[in-house]
Amino acid sequence: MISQSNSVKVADPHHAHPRVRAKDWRSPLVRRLLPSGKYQDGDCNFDDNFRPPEVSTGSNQSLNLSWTGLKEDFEQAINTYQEPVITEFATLGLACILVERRTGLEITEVTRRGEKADYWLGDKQMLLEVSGQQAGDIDGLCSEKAGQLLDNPFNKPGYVCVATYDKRTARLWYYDGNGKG
Amino acid sequence: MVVGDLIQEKNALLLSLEDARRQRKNRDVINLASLAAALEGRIARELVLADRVTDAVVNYISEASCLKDANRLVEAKRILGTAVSLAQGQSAEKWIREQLRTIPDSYQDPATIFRDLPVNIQGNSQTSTSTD
Repeated sequence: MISQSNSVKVADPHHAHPRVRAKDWRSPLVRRLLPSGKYQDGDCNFDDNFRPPEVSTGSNQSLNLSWTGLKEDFEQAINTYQEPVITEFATLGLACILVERRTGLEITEVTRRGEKADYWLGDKQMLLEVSGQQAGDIDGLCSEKAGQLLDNPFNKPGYVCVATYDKRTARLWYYDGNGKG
Repeated sequence: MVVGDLIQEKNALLLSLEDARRQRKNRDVINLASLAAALEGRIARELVLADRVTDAVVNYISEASCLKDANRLVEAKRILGTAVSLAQGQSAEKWIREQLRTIPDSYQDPATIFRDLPVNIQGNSQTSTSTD
């Protein structure tokens, strides 16, 4: 049974990241948690694997995600964004939850670099690389994103947050210049 | 406005810019990128004044990236020049130099076209013709 401390209201996580527009990422996350495009209040369990700095393997944990009162926002979101964008935003929403719950850090700043946006944690302490997929190999996705994270020209460490929605599983792993935590 | 407020406003603009890029709203991209670039520049200058030069490089790079999105390549090149001078010896220096190479040399000094253009005036001679 999920304890109270593992319960997360999907409508709330933006409160922990007030400097970015995390509200926009709530309904896409709900869309990826629901089996169809029809909104209904609900909840589900979501497994995650967290690897902090200086640890070689991650530990499995679980959250109970619940949502209510997002019908209007949900319908606007799915009418506005295409499927890949919904998945990307959903994973950003999930990252908001996991970053706060597992690391206590805040997504504080977005900057641009070439064709991509960088998300910064804390006071430009670390980078956050995020990617999601409906189905597929989470190991491969995590490795690919770790490569992109470590390719940053600032030589900064950071976290990779990846998710696979058909298995309702996510990973938040720390990487530094050594390629591991 | 304090740096925290500038960053918050800039974050919103950059997320809107990313949204506009996805939806290929080119006019919005140009407008939002220009606005975001201006804020990135202000943040970078504040960080330099606070002696946080390494952090400022991040924002100068972002400013240049936004200026490129706004098709303001001359300014982007100038900002990358500022960034590379601040990033001397840092890991970002090589990356910035690579980015500088992506902007054509013709954008080095836009006034060159006027300075180097050879004078070619025709049909303006003062020859007199007589008629009987």
